[in-house]
Amino acid sequence: MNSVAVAHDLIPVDLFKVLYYKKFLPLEKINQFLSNFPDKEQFEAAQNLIAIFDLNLTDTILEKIIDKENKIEFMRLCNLKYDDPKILDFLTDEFVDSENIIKETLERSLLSTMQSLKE
Amino acid sequence: MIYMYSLLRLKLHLQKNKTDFIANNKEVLEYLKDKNITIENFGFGEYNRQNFGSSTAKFDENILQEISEKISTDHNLATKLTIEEKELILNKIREFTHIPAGKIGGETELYFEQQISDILGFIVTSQDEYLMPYNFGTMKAEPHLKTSPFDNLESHDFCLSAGLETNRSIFGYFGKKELEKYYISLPLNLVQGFEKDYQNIVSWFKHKKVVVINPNEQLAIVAVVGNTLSALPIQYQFGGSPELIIRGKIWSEKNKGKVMVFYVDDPSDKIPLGVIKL
Repeated sequence: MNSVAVAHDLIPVDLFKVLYYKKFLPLEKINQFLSNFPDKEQFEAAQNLIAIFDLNLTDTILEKIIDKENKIEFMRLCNLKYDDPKILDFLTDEFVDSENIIKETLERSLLSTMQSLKE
Repeated sequence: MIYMYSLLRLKLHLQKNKTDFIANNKEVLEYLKDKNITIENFGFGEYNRQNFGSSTAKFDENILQEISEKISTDHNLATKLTIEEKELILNKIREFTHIPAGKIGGETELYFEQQISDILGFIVTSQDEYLMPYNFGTMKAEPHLKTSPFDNLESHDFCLSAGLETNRSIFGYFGKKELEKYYISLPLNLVQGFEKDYQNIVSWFKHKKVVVINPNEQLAIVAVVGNTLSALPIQYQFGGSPELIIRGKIWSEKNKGKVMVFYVDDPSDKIPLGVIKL
């Protein structure tokens, strides 16, 4: 068993808890998403989904940060410790409404992933 | 129970996102590269997390293990596509053989990537760090290329009538004979930024793995980029090695040189070169 899963919950908690944006994850929808994969593929599907979240979120944030040095600082913070609360603090300082932007980006990523798999 | 989603398609979607990310953030990524900060350490969820894996290799190995299993079990994925579905995809590719050479682009491009990946059982893409000058067009027959300064025509044991190119490839001598058997030529001078970024582009394309689709003979040929196209790409947009042209039936009566070409996502070099029946 690769992960510590909560009963009736397909989300591999260990995978998700090391994300700086974990508190914004749409967990119920993710759980529903993972239920569409066979049991033995769910862990890997979760890994891939997180990778998609990471990419989309990083992309959006880099677009929002205007100053190049601050873009680099954001990447540096992510590189040092991906679940460091400093990352969220940095983003809050960097642009208003960062929490909503993160939530929206995650929701949008999940939706576009689901659509691409249904095509 | 019927599961709605395919893991391979999810990986393809991830690949697409990764390509878009790289394209959107070239400047920042270049800077990070200069600072020796590798992109694998963030922004790619499966990489290098404290509890899960220590390097990109782990993820790549996972993918490749799966790919190897798929290939060795005679394309498990292929069996999921019905003959009708496969024919439908090939028909769509054939439609491109009737129009002037060019790039696919947009949703159609993504559709082909996904469908061809499903058929082949490994990931193909038309988007990467550098875009291919053409996605579809006509392929001309090239001569053999020298694998070393002392190479001669007789050392190539196939279709000697194709001759041996007197000049070495833009990438130098091929080295491994196996690579030379299945190579393609591309008009590298048409890659965006070629004049400014010549060295990086040549280095990036050197022996880059690709798949050539022959829709009319229902064949796919896994090959490497082996040279730049010698002539202007007016009549021909690709070149192919003698083995590729003949074994891939590129110039058969039905196909007449028409091909579609994609990159193959094969970071650990596990997908063998050669012809695959679609």
